[in-house]
Amino acid sequence: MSRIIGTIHGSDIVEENDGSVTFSAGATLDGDGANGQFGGDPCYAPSSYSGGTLDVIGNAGHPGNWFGVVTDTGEETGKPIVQGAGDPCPGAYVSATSLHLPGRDGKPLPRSSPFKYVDSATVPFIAVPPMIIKGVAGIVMGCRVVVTNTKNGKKTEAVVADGGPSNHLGEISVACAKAIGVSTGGPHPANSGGADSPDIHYQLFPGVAAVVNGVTYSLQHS
Amino acid sequence: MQRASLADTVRLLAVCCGLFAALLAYGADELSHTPLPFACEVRYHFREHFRDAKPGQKNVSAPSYEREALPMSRIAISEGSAARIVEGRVAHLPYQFLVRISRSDKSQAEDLEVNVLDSSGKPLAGFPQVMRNPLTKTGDSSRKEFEIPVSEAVKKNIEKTLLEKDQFLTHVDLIVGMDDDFLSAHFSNVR
Repeated sequence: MSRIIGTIHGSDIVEENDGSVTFSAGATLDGDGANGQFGGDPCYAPSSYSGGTLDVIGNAGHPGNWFGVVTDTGEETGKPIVQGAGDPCPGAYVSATSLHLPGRDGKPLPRSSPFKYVDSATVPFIAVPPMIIKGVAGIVMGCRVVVTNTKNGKKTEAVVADGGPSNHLGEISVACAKAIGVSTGGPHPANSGGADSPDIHYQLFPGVAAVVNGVTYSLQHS
Repeated sequence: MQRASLADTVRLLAVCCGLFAALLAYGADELSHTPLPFACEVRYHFREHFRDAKPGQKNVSAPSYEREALPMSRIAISEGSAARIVEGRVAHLPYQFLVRISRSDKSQAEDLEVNVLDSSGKPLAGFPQVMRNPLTKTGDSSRKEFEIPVSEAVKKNIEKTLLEKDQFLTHVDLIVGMDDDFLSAHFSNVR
């Protein structure tokens, strides 16, 4: 028998009989994790950076309080890691997702590696609130998701790769928005894009590792 | 007398019909070069601290936002120019917003003007901004963002009255947009 895990802004989060979790919501865009891994724009960069970014620097922080990028000390008071000549986007900051990716050898990558995080620019992913992560038995981070735009019928396979605020449902990567035809808006899609009408249907499969763009993601305990 | 009166009435009706047709044609012409509908909203961007994050885990949420819509756009036509205007206030900022897309002649060129006034009627630093209208109905230029400066006191008030525990304001934007995703959210607000 299905059960309601919780309700956020009037949208029920339902655990279905088959163990999947469903809800309908709008779509806020999450640019975190984009570091140019596959040739797309990075999420954040200093003003000296000549290319485009997915988000405005205000969402990353400012000197003394860098809450949205990886810093040298791991603290918000540290200095942002700037990508070097051998990295995918020299001059850009390193932005993180909750889901961490291993290196080619299967071992954990250092915090400062742009490849440790899931690329919002090219990988369809979603962010979910703690209520879902903590509310079901199966592992949510890294699990399979099917995201459907009911306005146009477009759907995509995606992965749960980030944690969203506790009172918001429906947050997707820039690549996911493009895949299902949600507007990416202006020069900084993660800042001005998105859809507020609750036309996006999300179906998560906790405990089932996502396969997106041919890549199998590892499930990660939170 | 009656015959003359009937002729006068017919003549008057003909003149009225002609005038009406001319007015219709003029109106249609004006409407044909009225800028497309657009909408405006204020976004209060925030993140949330995850207090129970373990060492090495990301300890803030993905960015999100709360939104407040400005009134729907209205059409203003005067002296050969056609404009759409959004004007009004939102609950959590002490500012007056005025956004206008206008076309001064029958060419395709449009101007976008954005002004934000404080409670004394003075424009905020950096405003007004006037530019060629960059907005399109579809594609990657269907929205434009304008960062709205907020004082520490206003920021604290927004965090206290709009955000939840452990959430903090990162910045405030005015978003002007005309794509269907953006407009539909605003139309549903009106219903």
